[in-house]
Amino acid sequence: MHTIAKNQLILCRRPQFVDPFGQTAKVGNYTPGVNLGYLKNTPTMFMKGMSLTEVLVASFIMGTGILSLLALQAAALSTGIVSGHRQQASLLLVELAELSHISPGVFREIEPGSLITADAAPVCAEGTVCTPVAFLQKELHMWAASVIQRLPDAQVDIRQSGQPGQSIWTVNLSWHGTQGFSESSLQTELVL
Amino acid sequence: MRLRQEGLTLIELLISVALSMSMTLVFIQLHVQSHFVSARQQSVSRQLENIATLQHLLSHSLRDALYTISIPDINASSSTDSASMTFSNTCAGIVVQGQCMAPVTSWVAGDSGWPHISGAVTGSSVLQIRQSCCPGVVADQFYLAHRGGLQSNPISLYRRRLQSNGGYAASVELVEGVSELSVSFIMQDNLTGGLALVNGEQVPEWWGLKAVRVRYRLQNMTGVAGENQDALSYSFTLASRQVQQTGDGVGVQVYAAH
Repeated sequence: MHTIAKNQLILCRRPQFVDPFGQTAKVGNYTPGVNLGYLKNTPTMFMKGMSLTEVLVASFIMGTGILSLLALQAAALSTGIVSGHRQQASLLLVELAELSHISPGVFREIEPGSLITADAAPVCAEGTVCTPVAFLQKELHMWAASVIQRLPDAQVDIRQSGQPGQSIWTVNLSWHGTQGFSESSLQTELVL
Repeated sequence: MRLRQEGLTLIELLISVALSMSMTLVFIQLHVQSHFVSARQQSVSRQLENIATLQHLLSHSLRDALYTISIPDINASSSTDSASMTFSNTCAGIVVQGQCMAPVTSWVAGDSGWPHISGAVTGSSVLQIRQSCCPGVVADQFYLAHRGGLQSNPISLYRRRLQSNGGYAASVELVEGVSELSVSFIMQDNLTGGLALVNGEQVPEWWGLKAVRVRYRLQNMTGVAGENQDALSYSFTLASRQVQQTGDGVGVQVYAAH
């Protein structure tokens, strides 16, 4: 037996058996499981929906989830872009290596810093014979131009080291990737 | 008894709907943007894949053709005494009877006097690269053709292999979207030592070939409306590699040039 307080809400197990003739249930004791009908002076029997707060919280959680998924997708795409840039950089470095094979001896004579700082490439028209230094300088200028064209905000840094008879070019390509990724770079060494 | 089934009030409903709509709009916008970026990224990846594939296949074939060998001096080539020979000439192509021949031959499809290639786009370039890689293979021929011969299909790069018996192996489609193909040569002048980039017709003789440059155009297959669909130009260079000094014809397969 439980004591029912006045205005206490009681959920009936079988509410369809509520007395249709307005009999009032006695405030006092009742046995659980026994149909009491309705109680006089009880406010109402609520079937409540969701509150605005609940909706907002649910929306927030769902929104966070969706945005997380989108962020994940964006990150995957960015990784693809970074991968593409690295592939481009790799191809460009292979191209530079091939150019160095044309005449390694001449490459040793070239000051790599001049390739990046010089405004204009040496004039060496296609089909005309130029000195090896002028020809390779023009080729390297064109190579540097294609680096800038194919990689975003690209920078070429070539440092020369080594000893007499052997020169080592340390080539560093750096570029800015997509948002969320820091600067990327690829480095190689050419032993000439 | 009043049985009140209380859900959302109109205000609450309106706010919920407004919030849902805003979120849906943001989601759709992000999805569309993401789809656009994804499509573009796929096309870029495809483009890079095509570039890498084309360069790999052509480089592989060219590498086989560009082993520089030193051969006896032309003036001394009549001598049969190998000890008296001087190795002052190098040939990055092939050597036939003391003559340095081109490692790569290029012609325009449809021109008379050159091997006919069924299906090749008339007016496009054909590259023939000599090979010594595989028994029975004399040269690789790279050409441009529509798949299945249908004009509605995009142009692709094809390869067929010239065999030592004069026949051809079956053609293979390599890369889709290649619209142009040409080759030029970096030559060293024997007298001055200077370098020049020339096309095949400007090469009087092949001594001093230093490198081969291949230029090609690839269709920009973005698949996204409003994007530039023009073909993009690319090129790559392949330098010859020095090998051990050998005699005439040693180490390379000699074949009659077309």
